[in-house]
Amino acid sequence: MQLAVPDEPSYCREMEKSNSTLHWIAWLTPPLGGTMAGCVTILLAWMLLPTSGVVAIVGLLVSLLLGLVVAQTMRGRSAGMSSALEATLQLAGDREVFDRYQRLSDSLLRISQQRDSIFREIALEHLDDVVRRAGTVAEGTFVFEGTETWRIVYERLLRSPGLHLYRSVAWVKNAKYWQDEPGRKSMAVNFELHEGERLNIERIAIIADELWQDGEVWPAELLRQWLHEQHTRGIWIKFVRQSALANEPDLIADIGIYGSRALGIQELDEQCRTVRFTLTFDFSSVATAEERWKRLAVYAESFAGYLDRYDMPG
Amino acid sequence: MTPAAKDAQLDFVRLSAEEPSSLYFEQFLRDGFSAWPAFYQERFPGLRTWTGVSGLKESIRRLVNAGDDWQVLLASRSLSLVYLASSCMFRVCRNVLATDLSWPTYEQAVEAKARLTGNRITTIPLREHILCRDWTADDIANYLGGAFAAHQCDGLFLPAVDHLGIRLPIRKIVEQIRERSELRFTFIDAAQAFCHVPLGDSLAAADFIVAGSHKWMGAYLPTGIGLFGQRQTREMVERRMKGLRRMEPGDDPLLHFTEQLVAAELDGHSETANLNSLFACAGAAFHQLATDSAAAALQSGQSLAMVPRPSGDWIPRRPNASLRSQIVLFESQKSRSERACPELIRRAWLDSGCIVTGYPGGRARVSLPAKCAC
Repeated sequence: MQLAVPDEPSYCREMEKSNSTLHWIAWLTPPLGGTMAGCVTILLAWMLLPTSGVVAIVGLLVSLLLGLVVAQTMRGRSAGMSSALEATLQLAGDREVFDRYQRLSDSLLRISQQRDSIFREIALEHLDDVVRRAGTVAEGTFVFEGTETWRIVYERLLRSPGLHLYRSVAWVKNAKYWQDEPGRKSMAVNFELHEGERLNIERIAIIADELWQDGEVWPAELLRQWLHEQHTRGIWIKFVRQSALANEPDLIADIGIYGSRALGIQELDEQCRTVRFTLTFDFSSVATAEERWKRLAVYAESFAGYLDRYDMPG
Repeated sequence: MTPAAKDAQLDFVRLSAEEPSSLYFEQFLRDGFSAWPAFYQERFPGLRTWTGVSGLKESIRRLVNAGDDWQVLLASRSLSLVYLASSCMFRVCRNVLATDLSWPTYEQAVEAKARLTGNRITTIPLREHILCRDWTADDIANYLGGAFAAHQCDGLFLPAVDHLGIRLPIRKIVEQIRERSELRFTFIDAAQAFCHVPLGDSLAAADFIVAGSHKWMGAYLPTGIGLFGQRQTREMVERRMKGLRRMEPGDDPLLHFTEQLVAAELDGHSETANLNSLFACAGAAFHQLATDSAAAALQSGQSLAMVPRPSGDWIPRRPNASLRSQIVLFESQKSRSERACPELIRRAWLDSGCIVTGYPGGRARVSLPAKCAC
């Protein structure tokens, strides 16, 4: 359910392809030019000079090439050393991160001292995974897979000072949506913060058609009660049938927008258990989600407006 | 103060002095004068207009022609109800549209709640357009409808009649807004409108109405009156009211007490509430129902020519006919330097036999009741 951030838009891929071509052209031009110049020189020498002269020219060019390769290698090694040193110096300014850096460096040193080949193989695989995850975090994204522990981070975010607005899109495919213990606890946090005037919460529920049959005024009873309770507690609730969004599939998502600070994307299995929760602090992702929220709001109807038009069942 | 309000007040004071711990008092408070033994009824006839807290609420519903599904709240001051209404409004609204016609104290309370909850208010200037450019009710409705959409507002806070007498076309404004935008909550300040102009427009459009007993109702003693009953927000307001924590700025002992009394849930731990104003309010409600004064005030209001002015320098500054009420603003034509301060304006008018409220810049507000007291 990489819903709020589905596959990258096509315009992005095209732009990337075009950039890549330009990059290759720029990269290939100097070596090709050098090769061409070398060929022309040898051709002219072959036509104008005796054999000994041609041998001398070829030898000169080969020596020049060897010198360039050695110089380039030395330059690269020195740049790498300088870059690693710079990184260490920069990190030293952030005590908390530097502490992790030092501990990680110590571990890496101890790993590198191990000579067992199987150990090394497994250790490198694990390190690759650590590097991959660190890269994801560096891009502002956290991924929680197959666990409900993301709710701890969720609560920490909701309770964070300075956060005044939490907008949530609930993609309800099952009437048990957020009805299990972790879900109920998260709702309790919603209610506590909203009623305490610490956080404004708005929610749009996208309801699967089997839970809100065509022709039925209200969605399935359990779901209606869930929406109704939020409404009476002052959470601004809107809802929409999933089929109404057939032409806008990118709007069908289960997301939370934490002010302008972060975006959470929840993926659930058929039993409404969390498969993955992705939290990103990337501003452009948050802005895109806000734009989608506005589009989704056009399709959804407010629970309050619905109450004005229809009686509630018994 | 209406005669019935005065009688109720006097007899309540007498009751407090002569029967300070009457066994019948709680029953009297809850069920009214008729629940008293005949002996008491004969001794304190001025309290005959007291029909209990529920009876008073019913009288207020009848005064404004509200349905039975509308709930009435009674508080020691209307500002408590403004806090409550703001709290409800900012449950669901992120940006509330207001105008420069708001009563400053109420506006500050709403603004404070907006700040506290991380929301905001967008204030649109209207007064000069109305008083200088002769805007009509339709002009205002169109203008506010456009402003609401342009500023991406989702809530509305308006006075039904402002303190200088401009009567806003609430229903038209709300209709215009709803045509273009999503309106989540409408909060109407009817302090100057209650028992002065019909409140049908406000009842049709508002999620919460705040009024008071001491102005046009004629109770003299202030009682805050709140009304809510729209289907889409009723449950939310009810829940909010019950959940109001003690020690909040809006906490009001009388509001808690009257609500607990009606629900028969007196917890015995409430702060001591001053009940004085309730009896005057009941007397005034009785009087108003007998005279149907809101309609009468508009239909048989005094002519401006009858208003005794201190001098010919004072001329009425009236809005378009579609926006008029029984409050008239007079403006001094003297040069700016000669315009007196509010207190001197009040004295000058008093000397000519008329009680007014003076405002800086040489303005005087005159209220024209059905039977002018000038």
